[in-house]
Amino acid sequence: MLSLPVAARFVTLSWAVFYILAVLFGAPFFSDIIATAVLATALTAVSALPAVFLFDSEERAVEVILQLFSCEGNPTPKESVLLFNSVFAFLGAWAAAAVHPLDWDRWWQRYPLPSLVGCFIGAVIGIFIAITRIFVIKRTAYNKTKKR
Amino acid sequence: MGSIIRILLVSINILLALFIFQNGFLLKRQEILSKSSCSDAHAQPGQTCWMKQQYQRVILILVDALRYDFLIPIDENTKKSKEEWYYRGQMKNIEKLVKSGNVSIGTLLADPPTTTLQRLKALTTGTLPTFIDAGDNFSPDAVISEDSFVYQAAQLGKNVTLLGDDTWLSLFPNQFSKTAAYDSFDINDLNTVDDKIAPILQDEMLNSNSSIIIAHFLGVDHCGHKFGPSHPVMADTLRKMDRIIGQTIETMKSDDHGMTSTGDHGGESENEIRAGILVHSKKHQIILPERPIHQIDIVPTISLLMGLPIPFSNLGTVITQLFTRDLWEIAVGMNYEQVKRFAETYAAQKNFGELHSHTIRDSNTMEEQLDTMSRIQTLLRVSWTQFDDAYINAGIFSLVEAIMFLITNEVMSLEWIIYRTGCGLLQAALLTDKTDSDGSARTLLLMTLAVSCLSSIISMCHKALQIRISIKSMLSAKVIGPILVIIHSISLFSNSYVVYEAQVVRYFLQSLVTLVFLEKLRSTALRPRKPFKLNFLWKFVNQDQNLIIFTLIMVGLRSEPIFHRCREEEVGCDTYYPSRQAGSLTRDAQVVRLLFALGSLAVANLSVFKYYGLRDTKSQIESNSKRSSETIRILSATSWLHIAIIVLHSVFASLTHDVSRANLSAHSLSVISLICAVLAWREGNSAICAHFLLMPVYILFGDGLIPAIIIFIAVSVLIAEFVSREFIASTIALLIPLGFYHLGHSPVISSIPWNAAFVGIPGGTALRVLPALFVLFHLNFSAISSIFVISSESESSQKMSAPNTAWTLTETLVLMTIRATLTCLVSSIHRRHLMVWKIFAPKFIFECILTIVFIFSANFFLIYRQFFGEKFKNSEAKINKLH
Repeated sequence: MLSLPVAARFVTLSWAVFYILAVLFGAPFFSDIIATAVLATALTAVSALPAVFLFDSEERAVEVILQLFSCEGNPTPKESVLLFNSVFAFLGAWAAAAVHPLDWDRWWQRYPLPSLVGCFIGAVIGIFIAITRIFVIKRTAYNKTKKR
Repeated sequence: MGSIIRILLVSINILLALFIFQNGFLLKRQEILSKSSCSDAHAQPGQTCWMKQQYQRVILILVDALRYDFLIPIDENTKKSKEEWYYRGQMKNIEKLVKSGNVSIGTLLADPPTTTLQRLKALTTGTLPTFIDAGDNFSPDAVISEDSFVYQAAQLGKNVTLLGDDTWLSLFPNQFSKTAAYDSFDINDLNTVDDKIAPILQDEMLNSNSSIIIAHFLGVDHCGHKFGPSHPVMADTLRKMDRIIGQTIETMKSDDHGMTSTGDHGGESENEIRAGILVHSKKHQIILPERPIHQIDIVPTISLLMGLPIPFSNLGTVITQLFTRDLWEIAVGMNYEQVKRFAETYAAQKNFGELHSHTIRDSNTMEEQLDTMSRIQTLLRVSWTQFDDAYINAGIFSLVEAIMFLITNEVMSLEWIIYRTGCGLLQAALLTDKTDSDGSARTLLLMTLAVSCLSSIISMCHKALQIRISIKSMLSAKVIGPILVIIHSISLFSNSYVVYEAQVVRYFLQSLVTLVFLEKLRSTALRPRKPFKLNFLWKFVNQDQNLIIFTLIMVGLRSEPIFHRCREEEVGCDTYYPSRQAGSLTRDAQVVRLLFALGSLAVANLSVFKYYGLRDTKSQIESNSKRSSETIRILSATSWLHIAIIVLHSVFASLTHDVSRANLSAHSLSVISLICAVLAWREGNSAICAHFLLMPVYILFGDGLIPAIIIFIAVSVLIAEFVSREFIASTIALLIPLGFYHLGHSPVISSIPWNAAFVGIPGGTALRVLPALFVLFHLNFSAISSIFVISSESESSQKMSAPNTAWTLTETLVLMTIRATLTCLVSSIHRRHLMVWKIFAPKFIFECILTIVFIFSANFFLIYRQFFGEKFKNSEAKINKLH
């Protein structure tokens, strides 16, 4: 658990980044401010909020983020679950935008809903993949030791 | 050299394949050249030709683009919205005449496509013109060879007078007894033609002996093009038309018969195909039916009223209400005989057996005859969008083969050169020889293609076995980029994704740029190290100013909706000031637009000279030539003059409508900018040279789109610097369609920027190549500018080598061709789709034009590089030495 001021700074910063990214990727600039805010909040809740509880120090958090960007280093199993969870949440929110142009006229095609759903589904898939991955790695390691 | 030959030959193959596909998809209607004659029908007793002449004279007034709701009178009490005020209820004379019961108004349905040429063809021959004829609109030799009432009148020695649009003259050369025709091409010219022909029409009605007078007024159409319907000028033009029609009806002699009909423009929306018709006769009162009348129905009606034979290929049904009650059966009977004769001939000549089932049974009552005619009409309407599957398949197969050959990247041996040339020749044979009855050329071509495909597949399998696949290599932008392009191409199968393509392309391009950004972070020199602070995260992300450039690109791409031109299918889309027609804006909006353009020009100019002017002066100072840096300084001073001229041009063109001064400023600007560009080129400063060469382009795009083009170029330049060579191909393949939308285009026939055709060219010049080139340049600017992105990319990368550039071009070509192939596939699969002529066919046409222009400019660039590349390398080496 990060200390409160650090956690607050961390969460606000990531919320702002998500908001800006959403607008850059085509969320309305002037209208639908609340919708975009909800989307940014959902993304924060899935990715940054667990991080607040997971990491003990700010340094480690930044280190893991840097490692995520530069694709090196080995996070602990818990951290890898968090990383998979957040990356897949982004991908889900990204991919969910595909339903917007379709002319089906359904209520769930309204702006933030598909991305929200995509975000949560992506997060679940991410957790699932991460857990399977950990399981597979442990299993292979166990088999190796057994052979020896 | 080998790679150049490969690209050149495969480009030719691709072009030919696209043309083959087009030949099968955009099919021409097959014309029957037979003509009707007086002996064809059993004439009324005592008549020499089909029917007794009912009137001495028919006056046909055509008002281009007069919509139905322009014409109908409205109640004083009904509320009109502000936009509607300018075009509804402006025609007071007609209102009066309708109330007195002298004239009758009906709805007239035009068949799409509703471009002028097609409408005139339909209005005189009674046939249903097809989509491909839309392309012939500007070709000068569009003579109508089918039977028409103009031809019949000339044949029987009746005089036909034509006033107005000179398109008629090219359609019917030497068939009018008297003409007063004027050029219709210049849309800036609102009144000249109408003012000239209005008095002639009066004179003609009083003094001449013409049996048919056709007066074609263009003012409303031109006004609609220039200002849109909601504009004060539209109200003026409508009132003027109203006056002319009123006067004509007053001066009509008792045995005249007047008819006003209106035709519209462009696509096939409800507003565009619903025109009004107004009929007046001094002889008896006419009440038009409530149901809409087809435009082609006018043809048999005029023919029979004037005692002429109905044109042979006519499909229209006579409007019985224009005859006296006792003649209805006879008129419909004549009409039925003619349509039946045509259907039988068509069925026999063109192997169209289905028609027989309708003609075999004799229909005797009037209702039955009308019913049969309408069924024949529907059947032929469907069949004239009949596609030639053989051509479609050959075209798509050739495209697929070309893509596969490019991907394998075989060494261009002599055998392959011969093979590809042979392939091209076979394709050309298929294109030129339309009477390939036994299909020998097609069979040979398909065999050749199959062999080549097989060889490509084997070679690809061989290569695929050698590649080791890991998850990490699959996730790099190098793989995902092409996948994004392909997903975008596949998304075109759905009409919603075609409609919102601008957003889709932007989203994908932004995602790709983000991926490239992440990839850059992964491979940067600055490694994560302790202490891990938030500040360091910022420093890490923003090294080499990556984050700033990334954000700039994203913002630049995000600005697309400001310049987006909405198509009517888009829900909740606003077209903002920049891409609206200049005339439809208020004066304030125009001034705002102009200031916006001026501001962006100033920013662009300042930044160009700040970044590129300085950079080169530094290297010049090192080589101790002070004079050259002075040249740049002088150039930077003159650049403000350029901007002043550009702004002046916009003021003349859109605010004061002073065409001659606008032209003068455009000409002077192009001369000055050319001189400056040459000077800058001599300095070896290609960026500033390009900057000056862009000045005339700004004028071409007009004040509204100047900010769009500046932002687009800025984004292109940033992308060229930001995106490394491995990812540039897929980025450009997405950047080209994005640029198409960014510069205020949309894949709809009616949104072709015709304004560009008249920039700097006085109306009515004989040279029509130049306007066409201007329009093409306007449409495809992104495809042309993308070449410069590739070339500057190759210049900036350290190991500059020709094969690398050629390979980048090949990759881009592959991606562009994949998209073109998929649009071909889409339009051929959806050919029976409801939206095919509205969404898929225009999309196919625009996509193909974009691809073709890209192919041309890529080849031009490669050849240029091959022959002048030596100089390039020398100068490059010099600069490298200096550094």
